[in-house]
Amino acid sequence: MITISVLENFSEFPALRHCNISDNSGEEFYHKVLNKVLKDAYEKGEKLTVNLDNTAGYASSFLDEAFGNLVYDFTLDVVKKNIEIISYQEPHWKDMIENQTYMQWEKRRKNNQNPKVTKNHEAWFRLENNQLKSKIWEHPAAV
Amino acid sequence: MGTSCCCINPFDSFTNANWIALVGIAVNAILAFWIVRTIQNKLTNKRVLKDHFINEVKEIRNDYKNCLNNLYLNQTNAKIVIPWFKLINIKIDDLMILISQKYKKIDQKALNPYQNELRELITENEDFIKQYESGKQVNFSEISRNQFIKFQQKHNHLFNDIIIKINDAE
Repeated sequence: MITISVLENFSEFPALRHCNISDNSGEEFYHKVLNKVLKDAYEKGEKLTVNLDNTAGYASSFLDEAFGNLVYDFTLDVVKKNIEIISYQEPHWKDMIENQTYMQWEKRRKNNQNPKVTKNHEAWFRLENNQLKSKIWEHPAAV
Repeated sequence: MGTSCCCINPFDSFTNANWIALVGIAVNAILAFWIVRTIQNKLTNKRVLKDHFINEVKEIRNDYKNCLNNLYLNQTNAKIVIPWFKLINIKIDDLMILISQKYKKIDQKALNPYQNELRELITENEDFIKQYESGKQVNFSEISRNQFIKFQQKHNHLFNDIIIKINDAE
């Protein structure tokens, strides 16, 4: 089992949804941490545990963006099978991610509504026809 | 010459009816003592606990009142809001678990709109998002302030609902 925590692997002060509105955004957490660790866990056939506790708190948009992108790139089935969320301090977040975010982003994935990126990221992993592929899937919209 | 007893035992002349009456008085006295000691203590304890929980609910209502006042007056630093919500949510969760266990008619998630909807209303607010990184106090537009007022009007009764239910509980 692979375990990460937002506090130790990212920041004590997670902020808002996108990189263009705040540092330590959900978009950044996804591209710097979450995408890679789920790819590792998926390849090894292990479960990934993500601990949300002990940070200074979350905006719902941070978590929605981070965990929503996971569903978009890896599908709802893979995410549900491979991820365990721990949120003892604020149990609401686990409920929200598992019962709202996952469903909304799966719908989005099926409708090909691409996720928005607000800065250039390194290549990241996505499942295509059950194969993991790494590339830069999205670019920031030109202003 | 033999000695004679000068004392008359009052119980010598007691009839059965007298004895029954005496036992009745004793039983009543014991019962009264038990009522005062046990039931009254129980009622007092219940009242003290109710008052304590009611005060805790009032304190949380005041915390939210101050939070909303600061939003209206543009005295809120965006980066303070998220940690503030985490702390108050932990405080509310602890309290509501106890209250809902003690008073079965009270829903543990009764303050959910304040815990989650209000946080979402603020952190998804356009003014909040635009000014988040500035590290300064957020200036909310009239439209945003109206949204906060509407929220308060819609959900302010929740605290009184809990207080009434605690007070009315057996």
